[in-house]
Amino acid sequence: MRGLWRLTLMEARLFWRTPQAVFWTFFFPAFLLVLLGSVFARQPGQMAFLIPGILGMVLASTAYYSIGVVVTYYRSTGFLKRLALIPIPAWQFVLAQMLVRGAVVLAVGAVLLAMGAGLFQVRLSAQPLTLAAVMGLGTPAFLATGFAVGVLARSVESANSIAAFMFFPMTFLSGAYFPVEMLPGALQPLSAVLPLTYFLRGLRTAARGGGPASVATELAVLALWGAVGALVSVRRFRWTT
Amino acid sequence: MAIAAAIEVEGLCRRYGRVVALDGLDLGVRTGEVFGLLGRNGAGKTTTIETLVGLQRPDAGRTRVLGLDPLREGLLLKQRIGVQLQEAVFHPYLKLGEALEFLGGFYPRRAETRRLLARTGLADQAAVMYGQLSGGQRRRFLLAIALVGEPELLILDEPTAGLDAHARADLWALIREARAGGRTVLLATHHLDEAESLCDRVAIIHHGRLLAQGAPSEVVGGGHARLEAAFLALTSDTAPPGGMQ
Repeated sequence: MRGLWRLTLMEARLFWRTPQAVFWTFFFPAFLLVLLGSVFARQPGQMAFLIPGILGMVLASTAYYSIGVVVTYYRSTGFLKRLALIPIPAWQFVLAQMLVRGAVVLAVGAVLLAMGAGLFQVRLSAQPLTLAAVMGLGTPAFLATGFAVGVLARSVESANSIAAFMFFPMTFLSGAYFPVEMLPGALQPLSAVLPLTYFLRGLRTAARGGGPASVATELAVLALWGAVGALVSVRRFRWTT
Repeated sequence: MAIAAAIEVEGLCRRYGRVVALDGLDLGVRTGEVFGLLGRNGAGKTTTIETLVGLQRPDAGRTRVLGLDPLREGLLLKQRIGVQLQEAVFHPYLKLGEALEFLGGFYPRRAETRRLLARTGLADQAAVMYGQLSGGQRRRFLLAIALVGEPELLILDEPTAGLDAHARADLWALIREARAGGRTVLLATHHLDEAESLCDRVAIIHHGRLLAQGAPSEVVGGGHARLEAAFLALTSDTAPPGGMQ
């Protein structure tokens, strides 16, 4: 376990030293919250809807860009090959990536909640157990699918393309910024298969005080996505090209 | 008394699609020697090394490194070897000192960071990030990484590529030092003066096959004055197949 801890610390250090990662993960969501808040804060309940949406966007971008693209970058530059020569099992590398990104997402969630409360007087009557279940299952599920992108992509360019293909439509189709019900009827079935839809629905239910039983479907779908991501990651992971 | 084998390779085969990288390669490296793996570009040197350290899965053949199977006992093996690959790089945002501290923690024995940086000519670069180094400094740092776990076996793939004359001389001294300390060194190179000067024994491979193996003076044989002449004669594509053993 000391190896896992060392890898996690190293990965955390690398994350903080990558200006783009810090900007897009911490500063951009905060900026977006202020921007959207300046427009929608006067409408009752709007910020309580948008804060989970922005957190969902952060989770998806962290999964697909921060893990997916980074793993491909590590492999294409040869850094992953260098890491492969260290006496560590591959699962510790995978887990270290996920632990760092998971901690980052939780930290961003806390910052968004604090900003929502401080700047826009958002008061959530969240059910802690439900919130913990949705975050605790949704975060690793997304990160596993993000890792799968990094495993399947053959170059940084293709990882970026896959990430963009998944991230941008997903944030619009899953109800991050407006309710899914506002989507045209033809697009709603698409929304129903996307993991972000279930993550956001679960998060908003938890924020309204719903109990764990009320998010059973959401948790099941997230678990399924996570299992697929983990399976692909474990079966297809290679240290080298 | 027989000298224990550090590396044993028998009938190693590896194909990349239709390209044959290794074609029944046999090699034997003795404990405590500096062994040169010589060959033209594309001869199979890097594939051999990557197979020895468990990065490649051979299509056929048997490999034992320090008595261990690189694929099935890879974690144990990696604790005992140090490797400098030809193409591997390090993360641009890691400082040299902290990188060696980080990596050293994975090994049962570890070299002291400051001493290692000094020994590789990077004493004043501990706080510099890898991405800020010149090409030659990067290669020296990758060598420092190979040495961080006090390895019994040091595997170096073209370690002097891109080094200036001084850095090259330093690296030669370091290899001699490693040998004097009882380490085995496998050195893949196409600098024949390097092999002649440093290696106790060499193997010449061509198209993934062993053409010759032995002390440089034995391999030179056949009326050639220098290893270079023997190498050119053996690895010319117009040379008769088989070579000497």
